[in-house]
Amino acid sequence: MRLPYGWLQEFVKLDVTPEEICNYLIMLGFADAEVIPNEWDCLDNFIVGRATKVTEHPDEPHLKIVEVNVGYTSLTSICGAPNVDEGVLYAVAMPGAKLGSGRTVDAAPIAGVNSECVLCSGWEAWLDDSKEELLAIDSEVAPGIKLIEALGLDEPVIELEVTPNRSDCLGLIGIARELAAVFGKELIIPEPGLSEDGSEISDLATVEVLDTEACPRYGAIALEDVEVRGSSAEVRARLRLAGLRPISNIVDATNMVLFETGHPLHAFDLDKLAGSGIVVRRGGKGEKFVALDANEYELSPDDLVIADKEKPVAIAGVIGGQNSEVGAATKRVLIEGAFFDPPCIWKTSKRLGIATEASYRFARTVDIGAVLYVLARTAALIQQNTKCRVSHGMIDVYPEPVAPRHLFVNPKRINRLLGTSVPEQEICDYLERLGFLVSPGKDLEVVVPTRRRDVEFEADIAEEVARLYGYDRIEGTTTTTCQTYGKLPLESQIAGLARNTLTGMGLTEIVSDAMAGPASLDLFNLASDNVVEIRNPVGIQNSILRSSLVPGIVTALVKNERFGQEAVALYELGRVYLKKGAEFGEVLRLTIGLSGVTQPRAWYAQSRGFDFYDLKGILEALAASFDLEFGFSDGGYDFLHPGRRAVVSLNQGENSLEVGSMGELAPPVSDAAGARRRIYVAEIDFEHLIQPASRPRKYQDVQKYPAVKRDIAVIVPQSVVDSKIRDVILAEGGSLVESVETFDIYEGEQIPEGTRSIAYGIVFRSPARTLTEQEIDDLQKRMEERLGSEFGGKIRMKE
Amino acid sequence: MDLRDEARKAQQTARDEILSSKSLDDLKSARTKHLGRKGVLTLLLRKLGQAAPDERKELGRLLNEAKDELLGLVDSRTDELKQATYASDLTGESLDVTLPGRKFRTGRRNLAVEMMNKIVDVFVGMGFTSVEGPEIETEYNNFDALNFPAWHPSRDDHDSFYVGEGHVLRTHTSPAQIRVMKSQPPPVRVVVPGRCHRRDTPDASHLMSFLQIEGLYVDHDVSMADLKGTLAAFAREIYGEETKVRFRPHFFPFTEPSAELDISCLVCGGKGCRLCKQSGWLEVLGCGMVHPNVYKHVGYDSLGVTGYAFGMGVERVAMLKYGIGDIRMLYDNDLRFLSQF
Repeated sequence: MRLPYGWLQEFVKLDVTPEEICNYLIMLGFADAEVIPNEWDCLDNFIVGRATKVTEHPDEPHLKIVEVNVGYTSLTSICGAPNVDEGVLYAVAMPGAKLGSGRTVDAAPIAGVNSECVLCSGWEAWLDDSKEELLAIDSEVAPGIKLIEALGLDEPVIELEVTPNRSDCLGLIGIARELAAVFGKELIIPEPGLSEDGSEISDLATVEVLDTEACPRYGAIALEDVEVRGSSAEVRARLRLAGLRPISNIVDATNMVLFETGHPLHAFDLDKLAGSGIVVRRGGKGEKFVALDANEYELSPDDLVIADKEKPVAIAGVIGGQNSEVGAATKRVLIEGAFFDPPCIWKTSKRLGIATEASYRFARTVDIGAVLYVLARTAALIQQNTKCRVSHGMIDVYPEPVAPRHLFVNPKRINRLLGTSVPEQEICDYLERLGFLVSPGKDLEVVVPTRRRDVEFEADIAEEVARLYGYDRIEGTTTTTCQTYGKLPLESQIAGLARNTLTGMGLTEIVSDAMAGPASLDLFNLASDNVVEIRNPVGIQNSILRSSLVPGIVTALVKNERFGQEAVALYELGRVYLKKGAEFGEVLRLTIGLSGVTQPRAWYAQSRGFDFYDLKGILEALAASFDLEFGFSDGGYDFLHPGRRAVVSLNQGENSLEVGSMGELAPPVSDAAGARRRIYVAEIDFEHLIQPASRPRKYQDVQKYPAVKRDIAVIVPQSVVDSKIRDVILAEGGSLVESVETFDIYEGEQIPEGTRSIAYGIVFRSPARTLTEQEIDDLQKRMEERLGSEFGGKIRMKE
Repeated sequence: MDLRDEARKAQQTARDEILSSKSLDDLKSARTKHLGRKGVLTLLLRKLGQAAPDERKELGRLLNEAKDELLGLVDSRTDELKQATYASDLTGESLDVTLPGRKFRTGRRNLAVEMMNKIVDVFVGMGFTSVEGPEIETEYNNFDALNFPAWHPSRDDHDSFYVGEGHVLRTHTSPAQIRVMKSQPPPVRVVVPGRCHRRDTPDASHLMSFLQIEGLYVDHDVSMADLKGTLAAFAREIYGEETKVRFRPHFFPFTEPSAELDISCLVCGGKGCRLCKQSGWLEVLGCGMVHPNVYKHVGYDSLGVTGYAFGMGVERVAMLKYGIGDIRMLYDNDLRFLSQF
């Protein structure tokens, strides 16, 4: 909201600078309060001049030659306006000035006579849309002064944010009340000063409210013999400072009061209301209505409508209609002041896409108690500036008057909540300054004015106290007697360790989008029946929640490849979202992705790209860091290369639990994803690791007896996989085999085609004794025989 | 030749071999040959029994003296040979130390995750327990129980993402407050980190998904002063000891009184600059005392307990701390960005 400083001063006299006021406003809860830069440099070359002599143009009957006193000299202006009066002050644009019409003023002859300046209309002086009449300046200022000065457009304007609960501060008086409370100043609320010199209101109009829930109060006042014209230049300027557009003396008066009080009003041409009656009702289904913005809207029973006896004349609290608009021909005016149900206004405003100063305020709620005041104030403002007669009495349909709230609050509890020790008297004083009535007692009885419907509880009162006491005066404390201690959940602890391990292995952590599109399901051939769909997505590419981390990490791998990264090694620990029937599940998963080179070319080594075994090694090391072991077997995601993928299981004694999948992205998939390099990905259900990784462990005696190391190399057909051979070694060796390491694989000239030679380093050890060479020889022999009989394997002799 | 002569001769031979040995290996075999279990001197010692009893004593002394001398010679020769080896190693084994070392790939933790964990750690250190909640949340927990009126704008489907029946992608971590309080009596002292989602158009300061951390402390006699002190400690821990904080009144449906916390500008320290829009302050989080209606929803006695809650956007904390101008950088997964932190 904007606060023209001079206007604000009418309600509270402050002797501090606007900048200082901003600081106070911020500390009262009006965020970002600041003095905005003056926006009227467009009026730099505009001044005030007095028309001293007006003569008819000799040749052009519609033009006048005007002598203009601009202070230091007298200039000639050729003017086409109908109303140029001698002795009147007008807005004058000097050469160089850019007019609202777009034209730049330039001393030049018009119809043969030199025109040295331009007498301006409101439109030409950038104020409003009135193009016919010249902008006359009513206040007595010296000719030659700058126009912005004459109109008060040079006064500082404060802009601030009003939180949704403080609808009472959507008007100048509301803000003035806050400042008056802080500075201990008097709040000046103007008396309407109305002279009810017209007909009885009951003879002029009727009001019928059919929906008192949506419209608990509807008031009206009528004006007769009204002369509708433009407001004075000063009023127009003031409205512009507040960010409003001047329309006419009637509409401008309703807007002035809206801006003073925060309470919107509406003016109808009473003669355009069929039956001179207002009916407040719901919209008809499909009922059409042309609003003041010239758009036609289709109403519904969700909308509250102000109608006459025949047709809607306004959308309640949102916008008026063309059919009842106050115009130049209007003679009688009905002014509406009401209270509408905020949610109802909000919904209509939202549904129809109309946001007005009125809908903004009604949707946040207005003061139901202020209806008659704002009506009187509006009528009085019009009466002050325009010839008219004000009706005797006002209509006030208010079947269930709202009583001010009474709260009982305890100063001790308030201080306990705030952590302060504000004396009771000070508390009472703060509340009274804000307009609350306070009666002493064991608990204080506080009467809350109707404008403060946000104040419902003692906590609300505490906030009022704290605001005036000063949030900055509350001393921060950290001492506590709380019987809790801080801890991290197991999941976070294990995830943290995994992040350490993975980062330590040279992987960088990413965070990918939680949302995805169905295209990613297609690309990765993922199931769609367990996918969580968003009912109101922003675009199809964000219409589901991810059910796998793989598409996200592949996107990141490809992106970094494009950026020219030689080595891309990434991981993400994040949630996937799954649907099971009507239930939703969120599961913590780990994904790892590799692409590019693991060993860049260097003086000490050949360059080498990432491969399947790099990924597998990372997984094995991760498991080992938790003293766990993964098993790898045939199978895995469909989007993986069928010859280079594996199901990952967690080995737990005799059992193994499938926890994920790993491998090389199938070439068609990686092509479609835009990758030029091979991509290796794994995805693991991290939740399966948490319990096993955190199981209690016991110290085991350090081995005392020496190990015996033997190497075995076996030539087997290509079809025999490494794990089968190791299984045999382990089966034969039993508990005496401490470890088996595959340390060499050879294919080539010295061995038959279709075979390969695999070499194993075996460590034998007994926890109970020193093994003898003989028994190891025997054991090794049995292993070799078994490998021979099982796989047709030939043992390669060590040289 | 009598034993005496034999001993003298053996001693002389051994002496010569030890002193002339050219390497530690030579020396070791010389030592084994002469002084080992089957060495010459050892064998002579065994023969002592054959000597005449009157000679035995002298001969024994002689042999032991020889052995002692030879062992001493072995030690000193060992030392000589080692020194010689060291000397040649030190001169002959020099490297080009300016060649680059063998490269290790260095991974980085994600800035946003790391910042979130760091903030959580600060609060855990102050006695808060970290818990998590679901992102697919009930509308009740996300809105109703937090005192959002039925027609509150943020419930609009232009502002929140809806899923299934009665579910919303949580728009803040605050619904976890409801879950925690419903599951246990006071005292409650938790922080809740996690992802939230809003139907915002992504720009330099908005994303559809972002990280938040919620804090909640409910007990007897928890005050706004405690809230202020706790958050001031947090700000100093994250932004540095000189950081000043400012509490400003604000509005949230689920706290009363409510406040926003500003920290002194990280660029200008409070003098006013472009980052802080000349105000000297940067807004970092919203907070307040738990609203009585929230206690009602979770079944707490609103007169018997007091408590505070706060919530902050993690990305903003990181952006302010590191001077990052565009929130989207955090989730672009670009190594050129990620590897800076």
